[in-house]
Amino acid sequence: MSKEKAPSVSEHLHDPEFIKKIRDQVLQDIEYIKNFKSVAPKAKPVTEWKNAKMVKITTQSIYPQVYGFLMKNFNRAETIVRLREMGRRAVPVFYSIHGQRLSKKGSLLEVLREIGAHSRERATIKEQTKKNGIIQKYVLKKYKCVFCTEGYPVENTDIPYCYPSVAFWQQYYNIRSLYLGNMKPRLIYVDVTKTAENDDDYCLYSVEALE
Amino acid sequence: MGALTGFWKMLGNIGKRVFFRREPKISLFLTTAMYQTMIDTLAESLGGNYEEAMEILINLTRPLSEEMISNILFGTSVLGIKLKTLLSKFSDFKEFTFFVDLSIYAFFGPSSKEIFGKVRYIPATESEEKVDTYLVRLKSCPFCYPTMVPPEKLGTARFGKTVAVTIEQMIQLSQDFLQHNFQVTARETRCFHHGDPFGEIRVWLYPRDKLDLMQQNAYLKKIK
Repeated sequence: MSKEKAPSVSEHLHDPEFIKKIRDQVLQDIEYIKNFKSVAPKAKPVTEWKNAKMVKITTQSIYPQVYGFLMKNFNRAETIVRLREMGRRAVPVFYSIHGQRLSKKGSLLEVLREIGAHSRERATIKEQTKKNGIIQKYVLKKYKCVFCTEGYPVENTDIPYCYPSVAFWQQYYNIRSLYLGNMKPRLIYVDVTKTAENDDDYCLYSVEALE
Repeated sequence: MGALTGFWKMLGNIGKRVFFRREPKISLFLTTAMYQTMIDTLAESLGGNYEEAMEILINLTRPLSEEMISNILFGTSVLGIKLKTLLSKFSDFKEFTFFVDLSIYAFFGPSSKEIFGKVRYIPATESEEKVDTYLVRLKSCPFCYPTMVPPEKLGTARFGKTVAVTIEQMIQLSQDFLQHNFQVTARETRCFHHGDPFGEIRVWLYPRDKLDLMQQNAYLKKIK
């Protein structure tokens, strides 16, 4: 496997072009949600099933293989881009079938807690930095990561397993924020700092306000 | 053949609820959204070829899925009773439908009633394909509703293939355990995504000494 470094984003987190790219993608996803029309309408909107859940173990045979496929076919940097993109894309699909969530108001922390309720992950906030009462930065400590725990281990990899998760958390908040228009911060960027190495371990994500 | 009694049915019905309650769960909305995007990601990596993406996905996930089902079937105990003990009480083909219904509930919980109908058994003598068949009807489908990909793009593949494979493997492992010598094969023969008013998974039990009958199965020719 390629050991080349992933493109570092930390240095241009506040680059206007980088932020514009993120904002444009969020606006594009909001359009997707607004225009969503299932090609299988008789399949019945999933929204009709309140709090529908399924046993997690039955879902866990798919992601490790998709992860492995990407790792085998692309270099490290490209794999990370595709894994992030996968998590990002899941959000407009999620809001399309669960639209009532989109107009629900809440603070940054409340929205992030809401994701935890869907994924059954347990997240706590650490090292919070505020400016004028608005959160600028914090570390998210996450137990029971939907990708990293109780899954099938993938060997010989230094690519954090839960890259889709950070992009999901980021886009989930950003879409809600730009859709409602009055949330602070307006946009956030989430990245992986550490992933869980066993079921009792935790993942760490850095969350930073962009706007 | 194990005698089916009301006692074992009652135990099965309690056990499936206990299993679902105690196992870690995930939102069905999140699962279907991730499932769609994993397929999209694979297809994009293959130049937009959804049919190939589905085939690769299924081939890749089969072994892990089989291991997972095997662990559940043969390694799980509910209320101190091993699942395989319960399975041995439903060895009769018709009664086995109860075990399939029970397994579906164990995986999907109360939502299973919104998604799946009761499993039906069609004896070989009445089946078009001349082998024992199980019909699993889908009243709605969380896997194809969220998509905007037109069905033509999937060719002979179906989005519900992973569910079909999971049911196929569960029945195969169960039949092997019951020492019935069958090759189990399943296909999603009706699909909302293709405009059908309901979804349907057909599971055929081909006797291993009559595998040539598979050549006559029209579904196997047109659906992957």
